[in-house]
Amino acid sequence: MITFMFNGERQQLDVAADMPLLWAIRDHLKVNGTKFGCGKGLCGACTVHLDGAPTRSCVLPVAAVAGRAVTTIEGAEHDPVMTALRRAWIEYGVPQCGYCQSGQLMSAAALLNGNSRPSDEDIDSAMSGNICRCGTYSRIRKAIHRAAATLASPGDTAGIEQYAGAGFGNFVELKAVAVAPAGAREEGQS
Amino acid sequence: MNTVVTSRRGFLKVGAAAGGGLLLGLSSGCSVSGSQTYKTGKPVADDTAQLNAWLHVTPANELVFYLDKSEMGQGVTTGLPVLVAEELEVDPAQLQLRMAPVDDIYKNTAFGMQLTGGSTSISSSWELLQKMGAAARQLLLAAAAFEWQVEVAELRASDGLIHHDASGRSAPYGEFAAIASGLPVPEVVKLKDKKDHKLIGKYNHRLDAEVKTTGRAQFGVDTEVPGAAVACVVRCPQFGGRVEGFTDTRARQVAGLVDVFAISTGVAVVADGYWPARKAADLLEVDWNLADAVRIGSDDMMAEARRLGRESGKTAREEGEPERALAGAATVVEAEYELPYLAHATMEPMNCTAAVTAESCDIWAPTQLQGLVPGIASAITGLAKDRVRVHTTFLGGGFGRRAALDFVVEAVEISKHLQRPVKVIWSREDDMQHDFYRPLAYHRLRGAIGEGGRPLAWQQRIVSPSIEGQTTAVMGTAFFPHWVPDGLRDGILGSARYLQEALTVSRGAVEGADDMPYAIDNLAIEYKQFNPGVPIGYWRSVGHSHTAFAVESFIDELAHAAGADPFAYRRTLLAQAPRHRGVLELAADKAGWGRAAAGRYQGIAVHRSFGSYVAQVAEVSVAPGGKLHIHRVVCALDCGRVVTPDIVVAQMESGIVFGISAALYGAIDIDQGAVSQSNFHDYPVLRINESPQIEVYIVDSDEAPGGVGEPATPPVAAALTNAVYAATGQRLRQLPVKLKA
Repeated sequence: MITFMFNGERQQLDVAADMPLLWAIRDHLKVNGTKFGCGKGLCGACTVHLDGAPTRSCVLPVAAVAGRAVTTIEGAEHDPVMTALRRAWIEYGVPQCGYCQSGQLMSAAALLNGNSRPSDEDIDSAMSGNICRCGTYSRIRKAIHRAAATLASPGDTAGIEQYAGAGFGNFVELKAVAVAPAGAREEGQS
Repeated sequence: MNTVVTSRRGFLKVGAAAGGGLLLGLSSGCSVSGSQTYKTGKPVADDTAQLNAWLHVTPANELVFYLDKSEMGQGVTTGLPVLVAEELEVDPAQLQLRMAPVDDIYKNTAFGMQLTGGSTSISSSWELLQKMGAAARQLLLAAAAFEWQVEVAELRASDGLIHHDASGRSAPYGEFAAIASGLPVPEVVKLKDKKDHKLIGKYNHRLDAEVKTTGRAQFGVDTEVPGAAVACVVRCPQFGGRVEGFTDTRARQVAGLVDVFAISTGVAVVADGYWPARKAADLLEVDWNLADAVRIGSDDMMAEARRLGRESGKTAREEGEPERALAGAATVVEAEYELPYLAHATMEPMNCTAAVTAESCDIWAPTQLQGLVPGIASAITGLAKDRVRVHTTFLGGGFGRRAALDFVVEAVEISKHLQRPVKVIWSREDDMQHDFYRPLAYHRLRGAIGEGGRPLAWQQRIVSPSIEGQTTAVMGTAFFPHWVPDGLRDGILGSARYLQEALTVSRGAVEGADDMPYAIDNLAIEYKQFNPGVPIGYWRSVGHSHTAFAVESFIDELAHAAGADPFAYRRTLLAQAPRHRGVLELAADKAGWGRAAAGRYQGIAVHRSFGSYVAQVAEVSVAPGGKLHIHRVVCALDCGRVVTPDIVVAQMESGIVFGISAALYGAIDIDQGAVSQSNFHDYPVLRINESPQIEVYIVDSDEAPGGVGEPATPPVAAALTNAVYAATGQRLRQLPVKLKA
């Protein structure tokens, strides 16, 4: 039994000690924002915060987080730094396929938590472990600068508010539908 | 719905007249209905009113837009809603998006099947979805006129509301949806003029950005079906190998293991989660039958391609007398270009979830080709196609990889065997070593230069496997009824493949070369087919990914041989190709062609693909020791009419980064029939610290929309190597690039 803090709540898991944290989160806690990309700590899609530090969860045995605090993209949702980053991500239209973006945002949040006004070089250095095959890199760079500026002067939200809360939650509809037992469900009858 | 039908029946007489009266006044409109009903055979949710196949209204007044293209980053979750919203008079953000089911109505008009590919989403939906928005608006207005007993002409639609200004009344569209859905689709609608567009060409939000910053976007791998097991598949490292037998004693000792059994692609290892399935798969010992396996390596394959390049091939294009012109020329330039197999390496590894029962089959897939899924699943399960339901998820990258259905086949076979829901998840290693690769390609070029440096002849021979031949064999299964015996089906498909390869020029091998735009009197483009047995497929920009490199490198070589400036040389030869020349001049102008800072060098390339024209100027420096630094890429695009400008810019950035990854690093090597690379350490892709500054300029155009997902990829490798030539005098004719110190 492994006990740790997960997104602010105490969790106990009875899983193999060598199971990577990623699969404990996805398969056992059923929290899916953290993504599987390479399984070798090479692409950054699985980045979470371990006691605040960016960590590749696909190569970290779950036993190693006993007694520590794990935060995923879901747990960071209302964090002020993450909120500023998300707004900048939306303002600059950063995501394309979006699969790597949880990891990108977690790495970016860790960067801004330790460096409130990063240079381009700081960004390159902190973000070079996160691969994006859609090539959103130049927008990620701009968005991190933007979020840093917003956090430095919270009143400066010009161009951002219009994007927030304007009915952008439609895509929850795209989630998978549960299957009823054999033959019980019939779609599309009217 | 019965109560609605009753009132609708009464309305139809009046409504048909009202609708007719409304429409007769439109003389300059475009045809909508003809014999088409524009409705799905089976509405997806039974409580919505269907205005047409794309627009439904729920009882809660929500406007639902059914998206019939897969979102893989290219922005269809914004672009297509904008097209329909422009005419429907709503904010695109007001539309609820749901993924469309598989239905004939959603066939991509460019291909005749329901698929997302070929950079066609906007061009194939452009007119159709505007018409659907306009037709729906007219139906709603007609229904409101009936409901309020006023003339249609007194009504106005805006922001999802119908207004009757004379009485000050207004009500949301949803209140009229039930009646409107019973009306016949208008025969004719008039679409707005460009000058009246509020959204098309202007809308710059990305509707899927918010959900993709919270972790809530549901990709295929995020599918959660109650009771589902997770499967890993162990496949033969050598292409063409088959399972002879296996020993699962150690694998079965892993806690959580469900079952181990052979399927068509290998051995399925099923457990109660990914980690136990992966651990057990690693402990499985498989005895492979290598009788039909590929034994050679990619070096042998390229050597064979070079040998075949000495023989003449099938003619793809011929003008004038190239052999004679070459024989008589004072200067002849010859060059060979070689490009390797490439993996797609989407960020989301292949996966699929299936739930097969005795009566039905549900499939949740990140797929670009849902249209063929029912046929494939029917062939495997024996269920009729209409018992198969396809649920398309977000795609964590596609790039053409997800136009193959191998991962769907695996999920259906495994779920059928176990009669329980199963999610198949590939590892990164599985993904890289069992891809459908961009085929290797060998180009042999000869050019003749005459008086004043003008090119007199261009002869190009392309040796590369035929994607169409393989696709015929692999995908053809979906078209056969499930009762056709496997042997007969395979025989027919095998013959079809043979005929395709023997008799035709592969479009996927010569596109971008046989429509080469430069004015040269004597021209020959030839194609030589060969099949080394490696699975190949559609990779972002397909044939253009290698033809653009060969053509745009060789025209640069001719320019230098002629002592001309590469930009000016191209420009002269493009006098009769105005859209090519337009982007070439725009890119050169914005890049400051010929005025690079000290120590920096420029290369240029221009290419048309998927109906769009792209020119790029790459600016590089090469440090002592041969270290290449790409500082900047300036990109000019003419894609005709633009729907969402910022997403178009994003696709240019994306295609450029994708092309640079391939040019600098991309190589899948085959050793004794197996792929040598396995993960991002030996198949590196561009990272943020290597990513250049990218500037994109879009030509203002009234031409029909072209594609944007792929066209930025083809020219960038040549722009880059042409810049390296300018910097060092090294002509790089093989990709990925290797600079000498």
